[in-house]
Amino acid sequence: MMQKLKKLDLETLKSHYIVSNTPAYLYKYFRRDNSVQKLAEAASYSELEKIFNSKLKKKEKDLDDLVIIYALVVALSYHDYSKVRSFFEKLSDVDIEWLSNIKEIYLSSAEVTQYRSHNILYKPSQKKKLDAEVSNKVLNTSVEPTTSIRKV
Amino acid sequence: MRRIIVGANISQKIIVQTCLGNDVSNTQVLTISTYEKNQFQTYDIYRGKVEFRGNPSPIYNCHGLTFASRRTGIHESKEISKILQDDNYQEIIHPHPVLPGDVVLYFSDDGDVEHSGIVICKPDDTNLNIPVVISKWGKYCEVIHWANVCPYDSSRLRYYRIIDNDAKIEKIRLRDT
Repeated sequence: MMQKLKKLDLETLKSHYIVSNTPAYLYKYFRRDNSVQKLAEAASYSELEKIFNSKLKKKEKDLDDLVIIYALVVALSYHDYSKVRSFFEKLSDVDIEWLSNIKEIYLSSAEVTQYRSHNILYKPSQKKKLDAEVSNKVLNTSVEPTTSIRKV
Repeated sequence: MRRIIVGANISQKIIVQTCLGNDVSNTQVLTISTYEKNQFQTYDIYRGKVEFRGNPSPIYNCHGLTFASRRTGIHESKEISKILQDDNYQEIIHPHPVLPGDVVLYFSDDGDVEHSGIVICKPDDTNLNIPVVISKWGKYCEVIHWANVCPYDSSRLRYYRIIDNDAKIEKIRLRDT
C-alpha cells in the first residue's frame, strides 16, 4: 500500500509547501499536482485513509511526512464526497497546522448538483411512422430524480 | 525539553481589527522546524536577483506583513477582502501611478489572494513599469524583489491604496452611530 506513495513528486510538493502563505494556496497547488492526482486515481479512499492514519501515528514526523499527509488529504478530496465527507469533518481534531483550514475549504467547495431524467416517448412523424413501427423503440426509461455531489 | 513536531499546530491568535472594529481572523505560528529550515534552500535560485531581509519567521506571513504590522499571520482571503473594504482601500488603475506604500496583491486565476506585499520603489519606464516590493515568502524571511521576480503568479497583480480618507472617516462615524 505504501508503494503507492512513490507516485508522489515530493520535491515539487515540498516546494509548494515551503512558499505557501495560506492553506488555500497549499490546497490549490497540491490539487493541481499531477502526482497527487495519480495517487488519487491509484488508491482507494480507504487505502488513502489507512496511510494517512499510519503517518499520523508516527511520533517524530519530518517534512516528507508532513507533505505526504497533506498530499493524502488532497488526494482524498478527489474521491466521492459521500465517502470522504466524514473523514474531512474529523480533520479539525488532527493536530497538524492547516488541516482544519483545508477541511473548511473542502467542505465549502463541495457542490450539490441535482439532475432529473425524464421519460421521452418517441413520437414519429407520419413519414417516419412506418420505420418507427418496425423498430418500435421507446427511448430513455429511467424515472427517479437523482442527486449527486460533485467536487469543484 | 519540549519536543517540537514538524507541522504540529502550535499556534495562537491575537486581536487584530479593521478600521471599523471588525475582528480579523489570524494565527501566530510558533514553530519552524529544522526540516523546514533545510527546505529554505529552495529559495537559493533567487539569490542575486532579490534581496533577503532578516531571518525566517513563522509568526507572520505575507498578509501579516502587509496588513498586520508583522505581528501575526492572516491565512484567509476573505479576511483580506474584509480589510480592503473596511479600511477603504481603492484599486489603483492605470494610468494612475503606483507609488511606494501601495499594497500589491497577487491574485490567482480563481480569484484567491495568493500573496501580498508593499511597494517600496515606484515603477517607471526604465524598469518596464514593474515596481520593487517587500513581501514575505511563506515561513521564510522578508524579501525585496521586483514584483514579478518571486515564486508566486505575478500575471494578475493589483495595487491598492487608501485614497479617500474623508470617506473612511465617514464610515467610522456611521459605525459609531
